[in-house]
Formats: sequence, structure tokens, C-alpha cells
Amino acid sequence: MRIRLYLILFLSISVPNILWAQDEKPAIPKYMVSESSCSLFLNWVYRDLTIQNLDKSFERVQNKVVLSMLTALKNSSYKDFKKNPALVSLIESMSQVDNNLDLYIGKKKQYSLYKMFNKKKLKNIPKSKFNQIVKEWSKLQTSSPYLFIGLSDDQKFDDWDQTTVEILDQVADLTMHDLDLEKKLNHVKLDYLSPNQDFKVKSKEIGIAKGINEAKKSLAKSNKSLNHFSKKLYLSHLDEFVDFCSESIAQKLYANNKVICPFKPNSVDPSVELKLQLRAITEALSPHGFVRYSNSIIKPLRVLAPTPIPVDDIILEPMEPIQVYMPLVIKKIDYSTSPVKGATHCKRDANAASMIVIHHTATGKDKSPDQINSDHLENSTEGDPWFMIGYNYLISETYDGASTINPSVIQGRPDDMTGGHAGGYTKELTDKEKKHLKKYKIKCGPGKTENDYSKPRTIYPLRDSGIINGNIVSIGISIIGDYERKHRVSIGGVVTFSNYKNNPVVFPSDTVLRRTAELSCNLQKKYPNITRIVPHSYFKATNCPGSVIGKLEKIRQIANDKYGCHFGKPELRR
Amino acid sequence: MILKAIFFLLITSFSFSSLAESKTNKQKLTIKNIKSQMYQLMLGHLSSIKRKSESDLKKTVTETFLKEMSKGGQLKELFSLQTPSKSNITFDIKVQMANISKDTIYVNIKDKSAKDYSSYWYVIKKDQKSNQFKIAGKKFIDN
Repeated sequence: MRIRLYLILFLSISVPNILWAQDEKPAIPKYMVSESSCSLFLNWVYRDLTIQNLDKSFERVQNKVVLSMLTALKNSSYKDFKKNPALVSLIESMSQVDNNLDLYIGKKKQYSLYKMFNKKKLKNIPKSKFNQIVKEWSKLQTSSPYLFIGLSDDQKFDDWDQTTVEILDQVADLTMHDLDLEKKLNHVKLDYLSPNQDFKVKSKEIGIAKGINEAKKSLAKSNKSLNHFSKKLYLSHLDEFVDFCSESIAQKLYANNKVICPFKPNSVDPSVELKLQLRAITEALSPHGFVRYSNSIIKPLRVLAPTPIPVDDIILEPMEPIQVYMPLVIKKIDYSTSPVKGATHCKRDANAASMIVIHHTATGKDKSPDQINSDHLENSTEGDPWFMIGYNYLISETYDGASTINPSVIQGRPDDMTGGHAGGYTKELTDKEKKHLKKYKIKCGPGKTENDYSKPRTIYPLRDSGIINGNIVSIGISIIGDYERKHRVSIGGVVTFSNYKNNPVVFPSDTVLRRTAELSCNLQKKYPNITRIVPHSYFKATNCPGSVIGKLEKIRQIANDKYGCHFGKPELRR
Repeated sequence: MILKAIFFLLITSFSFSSLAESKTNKQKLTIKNIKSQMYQLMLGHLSSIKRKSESDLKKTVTETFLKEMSKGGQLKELFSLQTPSKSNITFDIKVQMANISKDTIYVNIKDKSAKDYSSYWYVIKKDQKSNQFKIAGKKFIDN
């Protein structure tokens, strides 16, 4: 009886395996591929990498916090402290976290003066709220970039730091399956929660500049160590899926700086390539192979033997289109223009343009170019209605089949027409620039009475003071979306909000930045006089383009490194 | 005959020029009048915020905009930011009229000492029932 039972048990286990072995490479139905399973895996990899590196990531964030504080101190004036209570609170909070930092803070005379004359009690962030300190610095880097001039992109806060802080907050709730990892995390947790945090600037030298140098060195060291470790870890993950992504391919991608670590030390835009790689892996795996996780660290399981389903029984579900970043295509729209005769506009040679101005539309991402055109037709400047949409180009994540992975580019006002977006004048042009601009004629309609280009008037737009309207010498690119947060405005002692938005600040996706860089580069190749990328706030006091301003350097890097252009460092102010 | 003709020409030219002058004055008066109305509306709006009075605020904004302002506790937050002050509210105001509709006016305001206006304009619309101007929203004008 017992032998029979064993036999049945043996057969029930081995027969399906034998049957399965006959068909070594089962065809996985394509319809099972989905964006969500891929992103699940991607999230897991990011998360796991951060957890495994938590000690190093934490060290990196600490270094960045110190570096932010020292750089902000260096770049700030008495006025900045007065108008920016967040900055003052943060510096105060830092000094209570680590007395050593007082050496640097005390050296800033303007700050000491501010403290002497402004005895308001500030709300300090408690010692235990390190995550809040990080978030506040990160916000400040976006809202007041001028305070952080001198920091390169990899010295500012990024997604990796956000993930680190989030995980540090969750450490106590995480379920570990690996004892060594648990031990390591407990150690980091103690460091994180300890009231006697010791930041990593160890120099006793008093002097902000020296402190910055030291913090930069320390950060570079932790970056290098983190990068090395992340790469090793990532490759070991790839080893688990070696059938689908070989190590040689991964190494090659590393060599080209195209992949993979979300910490992105030198890479241009690894996330897109990484997603493609992961999609390939996902394609080869059953969707049942992924286990949903909350706070527990469970790897996605790889199912070795999916239950074979007879072909006739397969019910084809509508397949989610797989989005891939496609090469640049500029879509053209037949916009309606103003019927009002006074809606004058000027024609130019687009070679007069020397810069690209980046905007955001401060609208939802689903706003269409036609709707933006209609909005602009309602606007008027000094009594004259606008002729048509003011931007030369729009970047959309929703329009006409576009997606976050594959944003589209839509032509706005033609390049040979002066834009309606800059809203200000350039700084005084050099003699060389003036001479260069003289070559280009700006032809405008006769004005309010008629809009007849058969008798255009030619204007020489250079002003006596040597400045010129920004619209004439630029091309405006606007990212459709709202990247700005609520700002306080004081009018006659009444505090109001510039706008009423109940949403946190958002950042443009990597693919939007890539598309912006690709378009900018395309324009530079077409009009070689374009050498700079500037934010809208370069021309006038505006919060446009919101958080995109902190990403201009990245756009420049992508345009230069990936698309072979040669843009100079972004200038934030005239 | 010649004298009659000269007399006729003088009369007509005088009447036309006075007509043109009166038209310009009328236009100026209208713009001045609207500007004054906008000034009063904005003053009322800011005062109601300063006094943290929701009932007064309702007199200056449309229901839709009030909902937008209140969303997510923003109005409470706005009121909590106001500090009591004995001095009167004074501010400079710039009015821009959109040419599209007679009932819509964009208004931008700033403190006298401030250098620039905001990119966000108040959209003022005429309420059809009460025939009064009210703030219907804010609009981002990007140039």
C-alpha cells in the first residue's frame, strides 16, 4: 500500500517534468507581455539595489546635504536669508544636528547678521527628521537654483536619493529574508535614527570654500564606491536571467554608459535602455512569475514550467501597445489664426536665433496644442491680440498616440516667424552679435490697420541700449504640463497664492528631457547660430519653467553627449 | 457763394473734430471707469483675504473659483498666512483687456515696490445675473 502511494507520488511529480522536458523552449504568448509586469520588475530591481546599498546610499545623501548647505551659504546674501525662511530653517536645523557644522555657518557674516537682527523663532526640523531635511533641501534646489550654482547634476539630489530616504523610513517595517542584509540594515537604521549623527565633513578648517571642496571629494568617493557596488549587484541580477540578457551585452552597455544604475553617475539616459532590456526579459517570462510585494523583500519568481494551455482555449485579451522611444518626428498642425487685422506678427530668418528658451505650459499634460492655440488667441499684448500660438514647439506626453516613454513634438509658430513667448529683452549685445544680427531683416505687417505682407515694413529691432526682443533671437520650446508649485505673493501686506494648485511639484520624465534635448540638437543643426539653452526666467521674472529649470544642464548633456551637439552651459539669468 | 462754401466747410470740420474729441474722451472715460472698477474689485478681494472673511470673499469671486480656492484646504492655508496690520492696503494695479469678449478682463496686480507682475492673471468676468464683475479664475500668460 505504502509502495503504491510512493509510486503515485513519484509519478505525479516526475511525469509533468518529463513531459515538459520534451519542449525545452515553450513559446510564451505575446499577449501576456504587459507594461505593468515590466515596471514591477524594474521597481523591484531599483528597490533591491537601494536596499543592498543602503549604507552607501545613506552616506551619499549625507554628503549631499552638507554640500547643499555649504553651497547655499556661499551663494546667499543677507537678502536671500530674509526672503527665504526655508533656507534659514534648514541651516538652523543642520547646526543642531551636528555642532561641527557651526564652524562653517559661523563664518558666513551675512548669516550672523541676519540672526542678530531677526530674532524670530524659526521652526527647526527635529533631529530625528532627516528625511524631511533631505526633502526640504531637494525642494530648495528646484525652487532656488541660484543658491546652488557650482554644483553639478550628480552633486544635487536625484531619484536615487529620494528612494534612499523613503526606504530609510521603512527600514523597520521591511521583512528580510537574508540575515546578513538584515544585520546591515539594522546598523544603518541605528545610524539614521541616532540623535548624534555625524556628518562626513571631518575637516577642522574653517572656511566655506574649503568645506565645499572637502564635501565634494567625500561625495565623489561615496559616488564611486556606490557605483562600483551597484554595477556588481546589477550584473548579478542579470546573471539570474542570463538566458535573456547576457553579461557580455550588459558589459557592453555599461561601457557605452547607457545602462543601468539608477544612480546614473555619467550615463546620459539609462532608464530608457534599461526599460527596453527589462521589457525583453519580461517578454521571455510568464507574467505569473512576478509576485506583488508591499514592504517585504521578495524577488520576482521565475516560473520554469507554465501550465500549457491548448491553443484553442486561449482568449486573446486586447494587447497593450508596447511603447518604445522612437526617433524624432515633428508633427504639424493647421492652426487657426486670429481673424483680427491688428494681430500683427513679424517674419524673420530663423538663423537670427541664437538660443532656445524652455517653457512649461502650466496646464494639465492632456492639453492639446489646438487648445493651447485657442488660449493664446484670447491673449493680447498692449491691445493687440496674439496672431496664433506663441511657442515654436510643444512637447507632449499625450497628444496623438504619444506616451511618457515616447513623447511627441508638435510644431507651434513656424520657425521663420518671431515667437510670442520670451516676454523680455536680451542683455546688451556684443559688437560681434550686433554685426551678426544686422544681416537679418525682420519684416512685419503694417500694423493695426491691415496685415498685408505684400507691403511689409522692415524693422531694425535693435534698441539704442543694445538690447533686442528675446522673441526675435530665440526659439521657444514648451513642455506641456505643470511643473510649477504654488508660490506665495505679497501684495500690500496681503499674502496670496500666485495660483491655486493643490498638487505637489512634479519633475519632467527622463524621456521628456531626452526629447527636449533631441529637438534642441535638431534645431542647432538646422540653425547653427543657436548655442545656448535658457529658461523662460532668463528673460523675465517668472517661475516658468518650474522644476524643469533644474534639469536644463541634463538637457544640455544629453544634447551634447547623445546627439553630438555643442551647447554651452545653461545661463539662468540675463 | 465762395463765402457760403467756406462757412459750410468751417462748420462741418468743427463739428467732426468735436465729435472725434468726444469719442476719444468717452473711450478714455470708459477705460478709466473699468480700471477703477477693477481696482475696487481687487481691493475688496484682497481686503476680504486679509480679514479672513469668506462671506466677503464670495462677493468678489465666482462660485467655481471659490471652490478651486478652497480645494484641499487651500483657503484655510491662505487665511492662516495673514498677519493683522493696522495700515491700509495699498497697491499698484495694471489692467489689461482681452479683445475677445466684452465681458472678460484680465487683471494683474503687484505691490508698488515689486519690480515685476506675476505670470498669473486674474480672469474677471461679468456675472450675467447681477451684471457685476467677479474673479472667475487665474490664467497663466507666458510672455
